[in-house]
Amino acid sequence: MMDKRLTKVLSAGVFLIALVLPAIALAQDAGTAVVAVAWQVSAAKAIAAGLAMGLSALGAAYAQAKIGSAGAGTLAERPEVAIWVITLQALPEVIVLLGFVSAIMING
Amino acid sequence: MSAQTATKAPTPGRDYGYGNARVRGMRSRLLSARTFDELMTSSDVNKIIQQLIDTEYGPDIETAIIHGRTPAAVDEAFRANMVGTFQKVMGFLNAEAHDLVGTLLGRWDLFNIKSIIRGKHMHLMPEEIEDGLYAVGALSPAELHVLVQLEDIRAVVDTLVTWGSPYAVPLRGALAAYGEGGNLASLELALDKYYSGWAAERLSGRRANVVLARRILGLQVDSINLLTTFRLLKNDLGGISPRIFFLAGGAYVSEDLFNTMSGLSDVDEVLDALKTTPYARQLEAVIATYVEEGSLSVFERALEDYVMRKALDAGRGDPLGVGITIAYLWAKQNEVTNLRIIVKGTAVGMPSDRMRKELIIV
Amino acid sequence: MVVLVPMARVEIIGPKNRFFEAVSLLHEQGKLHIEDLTKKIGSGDMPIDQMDVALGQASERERMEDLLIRVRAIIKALQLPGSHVDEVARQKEYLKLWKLESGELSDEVVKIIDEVEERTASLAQSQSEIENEISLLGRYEPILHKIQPLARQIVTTGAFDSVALLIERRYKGLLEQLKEELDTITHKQCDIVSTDVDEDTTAAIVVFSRTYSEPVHKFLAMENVNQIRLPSDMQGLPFDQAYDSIRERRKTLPDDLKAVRLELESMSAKWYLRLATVRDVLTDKIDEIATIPKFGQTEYAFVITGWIPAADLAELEAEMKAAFGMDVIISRKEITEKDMAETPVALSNTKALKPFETLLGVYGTPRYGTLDPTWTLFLFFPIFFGMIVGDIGYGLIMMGIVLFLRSRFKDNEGIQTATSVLGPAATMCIVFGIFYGEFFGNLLGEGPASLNLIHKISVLGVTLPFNREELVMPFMLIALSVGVIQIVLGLSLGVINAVRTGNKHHLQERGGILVLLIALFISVALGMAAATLGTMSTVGMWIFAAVALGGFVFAIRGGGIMGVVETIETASHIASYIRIMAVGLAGAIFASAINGIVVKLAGSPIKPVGLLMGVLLGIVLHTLNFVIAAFSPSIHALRLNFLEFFGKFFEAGNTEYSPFRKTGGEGQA
Repeated sequence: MMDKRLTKVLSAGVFLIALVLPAIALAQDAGTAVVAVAWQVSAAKAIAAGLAMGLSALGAAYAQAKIGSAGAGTLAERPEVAIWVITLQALPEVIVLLGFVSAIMING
Repeated sequence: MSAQTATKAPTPGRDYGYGNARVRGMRSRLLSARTFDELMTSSDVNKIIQQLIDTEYGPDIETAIIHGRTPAAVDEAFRANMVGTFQKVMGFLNAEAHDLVGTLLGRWDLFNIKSIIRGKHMHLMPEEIEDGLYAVGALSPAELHVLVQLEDIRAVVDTLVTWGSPYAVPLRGALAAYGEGGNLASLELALDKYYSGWAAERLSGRRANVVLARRILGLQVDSINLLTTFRLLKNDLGGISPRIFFLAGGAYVSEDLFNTMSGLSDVDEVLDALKTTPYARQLEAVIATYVEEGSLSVFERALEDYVMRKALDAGRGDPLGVGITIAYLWAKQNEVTNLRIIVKGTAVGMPSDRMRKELIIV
Repeated sequence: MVVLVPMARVEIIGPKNRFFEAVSLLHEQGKLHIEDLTKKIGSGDMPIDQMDVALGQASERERMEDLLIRVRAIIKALQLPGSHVDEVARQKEYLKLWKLESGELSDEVVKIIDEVEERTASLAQSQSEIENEISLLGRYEPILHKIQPLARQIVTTGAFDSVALLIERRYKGLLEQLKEELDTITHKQCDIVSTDVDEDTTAAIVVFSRTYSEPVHKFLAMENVNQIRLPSDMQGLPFDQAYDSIRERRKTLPDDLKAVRLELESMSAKWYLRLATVRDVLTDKIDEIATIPKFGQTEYAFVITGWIPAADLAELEAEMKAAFGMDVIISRKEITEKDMAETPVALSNTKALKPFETLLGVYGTPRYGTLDPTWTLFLFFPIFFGMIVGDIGYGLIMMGIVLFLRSRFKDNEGIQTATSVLGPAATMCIVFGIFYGEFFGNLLGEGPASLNLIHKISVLGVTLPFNREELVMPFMLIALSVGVIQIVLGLSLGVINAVRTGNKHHLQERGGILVLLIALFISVALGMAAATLGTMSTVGMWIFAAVALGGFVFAIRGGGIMGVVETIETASHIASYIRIMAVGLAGAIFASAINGIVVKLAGSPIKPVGLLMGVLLGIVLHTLNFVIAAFSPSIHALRLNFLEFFGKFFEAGNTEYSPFRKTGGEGQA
């Protein structure tokens, strides 16, 4: 049961990052706004980056929650496969990473 | 009428990930066919103990044999293991699965109570009756132990009434009829009807998991109906309509089919009427044995095996569905039944090929 | 050590009459990994017979197995133990028991069993009986509780008997008839009181003179009413007394249970050491006999084969010689490539690398004859971890935690091992932190949310610190190059392993991909340089492209269709190293963003409340980021090693070195 909670906490953490990052992006954009770029463009970029990051994080969180509960079940019966459970648990993070890279590229 | 251990509320919702992963883990510890082969060649019970002491059954065997290493003690350990396993599984299922599986496990209460009243009817020794019970339903081993010790059917019913058991309801209704005719059928029919009605009600809905559980229940109901049909072939009802014996909720055997069959005069005709159902093939496969032994238990066994296979098949479907759990519990029951056969067989010196015939290896 | 512990395959031959002495010596020395000859003899590969277990031994074993089971049952019933076991006493007891002749040992064990078995069994029995009774009484209580008001209405003396009835409410009218009939039977010496207990049940208590007990009971049994049944030992009691007695028992039974458990505990405290040691001794003795059929024999000689670490061979030879002189001969056999699959594997590494063996063990045991990859984990795991986290602040905290755990749990092997793995990781984390110039993100660097303490300098044309938040693309290229390096290394190790194990397919496949990879890089490099180097370079490009193609052909020859898949996979594996950049960057940017939030909250000019809130929030968020930084990067670092890297060369072995030795009272179940 503990592991299930852990999964939730981690998912929440990922989600939190997803929420914070766009705001930062927006803040940075506002700070360094170049006169030549229309504000609509900056805003659209920020929103796009936020979506890229946020949606991919939601996807990863969902996947991790599923894997986490199954992994906790597996661990309860077969502790010897712990390493594979942990590895599987970490796999969906790639989804967030891709979202993150996209977000950076949109802003960069 | 949920399982006896449901002291802790199941996790709400329908997340099958956790439970199914655990069930899969447990499934990986079911004994292999090779282990069974080795067990069957054991010369005595001690050898069986040696072989099983390092398996899942070890702790239960250790607990049981402190009072002596008898076949009975080992048998006791097997049953304790099965009870413990079922309780454990019920303990971690999600709410939906707990409900569905709990409903299906109700059949064990049905089975146990029927065994007890049948045993009392035939004046069997309490130990003999207790031997055949599986305390994996709502009634605990201790409660079943009290029931088998009672003097007669009436006392059993009274005790169930006193305990407020839901099965007291159909029994007290049918007890008068039993008192008059001394015919068990009325009590059994009341129990069957009560259970199938209760279970059908709880298994209504269109979600895939509910449909699956209902299907398993339906197969069980069909089996009972078919056996009733076969019994009716042999007995003269003396004007009573056979319709009253029909149990609703079957998977293939409709009321019309049942009525048709109950009007027939021999087994071949019944099998012919069943042609459109999967049962025809199952029953035809054993008809030679039936003719040879002349006992309905041949058909009973064939139908049981069929339901077992179907329940095991349920584990090959949706990996995030209730089928995984159903298949595991049935497989576990199968394993325990087989182990018990082996221990009993070994104790009386049954040759291993005879034993192999008795086993239900699926 | 780069290689696995070299094993010596030995064959020990001696006269049969000295067989058991030889086995005892081997068991005592505990270094030989015994080969089970059963299969080889069965298949006719070895023209000898299986060693017979002497009749006496067979029965001895049976007797000991028997005793062992009894001991295990006792241990189980005693539910042992939470308390600490004195290892020294245990060792002493073990040696004492081990030295006994088998007959004496059995007697000793039987004596111990006799002393505890019966008492334990009866305690276990009472325990389960009490537990059952508690739950059973619980089933009677509700209904008795409901009829209490009725039961207390009637005064029962010895002259009266009573029966409680439960009737479906719709048949309540039945009570009137019952009363009439009972009046007839008892000549009006009876009374009925009734009440509704729930929606569909009515309860009634019938009181009647004992004189008519029999006819009344007979009559009621015929009627369609249910009687309340009391537990068998309370039958005949009036219902109020029965109820009180049940409640009383339900109150006292838990105490009884506690008393039984206490006694079990005290027995366990008294006997655990001996019982557990007996269990271990018996296990070892049985093991010794059970090993016998694994050996071979000819008419006059015994044959034992097995493996021993080559370094220990001399010791064994010396001991054998001292004990048996020239009677027993040890000969060393060559381990051919064919034998490698079944040769047991042992790792032996220096102290620093040892903990990484555990990490490797999580993945699997390598196959005998291949290289010991422990050092690669020791090298790459900390580097990857450091590259990803790369923060002086987080690294220092991690180091602090590692050092604290190490000093706090000196005896805990698990923690010592784990921290020995994490220590280097934390160190690399600090090293890369310095390279990136990160201390809790960009706290010390330049920028609106930083303290402006670190300034960029140029070293040999490279600007340091390497600010990865600004240099995303270069950072990605670095990550990819790390991938290329590790994959090339992996393939090279794969080639070496293939040569060492004589696997031609692996050699062609891995070598082919390796050639393809290297030739491709040179080809691309030459192509890019063509503008400056001219035609020669273009020609070279084509030549190397042809070499690359040749490599591909070889890869397919070696691996068939899997060769194609492997080749394509190699490319995607290299791309997988981008995660070093992505995970690292995400953490770094998050850390910097936290600092930004703190600065925003602090306001400009700085407001005290804002600053306080900012700092608090900063601590919370940095803690969160730290936890993520500790967990996720280690998983990714492991995954790159296990999946992408090991996949190129690791071959799993199936036998771990497990020498024939005594448990020595180490307490295995």
